[in-house]
Amino acid sequence: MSKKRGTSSVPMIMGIIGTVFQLPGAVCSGACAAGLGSVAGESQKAVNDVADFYMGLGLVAALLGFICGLFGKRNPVFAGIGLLIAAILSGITLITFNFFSMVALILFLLGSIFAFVQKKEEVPEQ
Amino acid sequence: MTFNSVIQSFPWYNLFAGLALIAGIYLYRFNARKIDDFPQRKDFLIIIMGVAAVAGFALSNVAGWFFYSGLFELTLLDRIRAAGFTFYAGLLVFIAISWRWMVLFGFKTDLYFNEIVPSITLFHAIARIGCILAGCCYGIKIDFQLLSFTISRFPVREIEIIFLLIMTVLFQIKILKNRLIIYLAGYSLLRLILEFFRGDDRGYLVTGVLSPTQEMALAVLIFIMVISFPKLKSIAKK
Repeated sequence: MSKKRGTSSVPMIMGIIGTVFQLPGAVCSGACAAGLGSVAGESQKAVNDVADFYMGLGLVAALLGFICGLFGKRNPVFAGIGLLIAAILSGITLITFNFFSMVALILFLLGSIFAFVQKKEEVPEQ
Repeated sequence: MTFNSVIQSFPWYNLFAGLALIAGIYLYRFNARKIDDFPQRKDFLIIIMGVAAVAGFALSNVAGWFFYSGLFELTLLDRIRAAGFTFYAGLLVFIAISWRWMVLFGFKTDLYFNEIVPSITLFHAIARIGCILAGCCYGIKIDFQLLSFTISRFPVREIEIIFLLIMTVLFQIKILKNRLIIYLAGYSLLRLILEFFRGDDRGYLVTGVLSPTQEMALAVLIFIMVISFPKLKSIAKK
């Protein structure tokens, strides 16, 4: 019995560098969401809730991108889907107009594409 | 927005930590060639270490909430930002979690950790360059002058980088056994001393005399001495 395994390190590298940018992106989107809420004249509690939500979303995207990027060689399909979800989540945080999330979105997307299209090799089952 | 403000607000520390992680993973892959095991298992260990590293960094941030005073009065966002990361706490959590998982999944811990340690030292050395660029983890103020060369702060980060790079080279070419113990003992001793020369707020854990990192380093050194004592005794008998 044999199993397919990826050969490219690109999903892993994109996942790590994307996370590197998404971490400050998460903090930024939280702060930006709070700023936008304050400008809109919302109550302090509502502003804090929105800030925590966007920061949480950004952190989940970073975590997902990092872990799924590491799966790039072991399980390319799982890595591709995970990186795609991370890209979508960082795309949602882009609503707060922050640069870091945009870079992370591009990197996660590239990582996802590379995870799907990379050359695969047959390896013996453990 | 000026070029200087963009450079200053750029997440240098994060970027270098990411690059350091990639370099560390490549070094692990290079060293792991010597281990007789399936390639899927070697890849799986990278995932285990990745999760353990995330847990380590996250818990070191949470630990920072308790080390520094007044952080609980801040909002969650500001608290996470202010606490930062404590490498030493993160390292200990990383080693503990990855060790436990490796035992659970049937990895030979001694064999694998021996090959992981050079990656840890390389990661740490490169990440410290990020500290220099980000302007954190600086030393106390000193006034040292030699000809036209002036040092205004004690070079704690630079000493650490040199030490870690030397350790990485030694681990690759000379020290081939017991790397984890040697690294933990050497680095803990260095941190115990270097912490006295740190100029940033080091926080509070148990005593006001030593910083949290020094207290942890001392505990690690005592632990290493206790577990190494029977070995040393048997060597002395021979």
